[in-house]
Amino acid sequence: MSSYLLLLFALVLFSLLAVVFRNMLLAALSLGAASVALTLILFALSAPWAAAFELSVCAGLITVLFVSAVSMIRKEELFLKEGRARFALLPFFLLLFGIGFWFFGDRLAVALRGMPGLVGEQAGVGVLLWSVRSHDLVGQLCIILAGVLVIKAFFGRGRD
Amino acid sequence: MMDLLRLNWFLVVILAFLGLYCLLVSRNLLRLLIGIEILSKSCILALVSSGVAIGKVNTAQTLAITMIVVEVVVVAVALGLIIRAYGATRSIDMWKMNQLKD
Repeated sequence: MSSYLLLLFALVLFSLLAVVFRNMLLAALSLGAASVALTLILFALSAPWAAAFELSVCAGLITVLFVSAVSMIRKEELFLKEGRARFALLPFFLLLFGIGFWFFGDRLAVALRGMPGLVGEQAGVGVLLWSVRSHDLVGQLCIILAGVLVIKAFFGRGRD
Repeated sequence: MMDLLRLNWFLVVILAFLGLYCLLVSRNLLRLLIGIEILSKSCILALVSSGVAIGKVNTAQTLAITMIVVEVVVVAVALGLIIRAYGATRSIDMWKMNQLKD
């Protein structure tokens, strides 16, 4: 349990660093580290498929995308002055939010337990993904296609 | 199990607040995208921890996988938009985006 708490703490810490770092490269790397922490949490929650996707896509691909975008932008722009004084209130609001939610945790758990079950729940992830929730796959394919077309429209070579 | 769910949801709320705060406060377009990323991380953790708590972890995993795919497409498209906007305005300051209409 103590190592699990350490992972939760690491996730919050790296997310906080990603928000407050002025250097965007360090912020992007902190986001990648937060993804690694979330991966380990998902493994601890016995969700290995989601963890593998999180590690390969979020910690790998998205970090690479962020770093490549940062490398294309001038250094002066990356250290944009954006009124850091407003960030000083962040820990206070965080604490308020967290304490407020702590009292609703039990109600949420009771409400979750009362929810009706889904079809084919006992099946493995593969069967669920390919048979029960196959419409999700169609949606995923459509959104990947849309993303490819948008990137092609942005960076494709024009006819002229 | 109930305590684990409570702990996870405590973290989900903190992460969601972090992401929302980043979206509200920041003017840097890249940092706004980082805020969206943190929000989506909180959603993935909420999905999986709820699935674990009620014994439906496989369904939660399939939903989390779908969400990760959507997330990466959103990030790729948004970064493309940011790079194009930077090419037009030479800035990633959100407050200078209103010059695009000129």
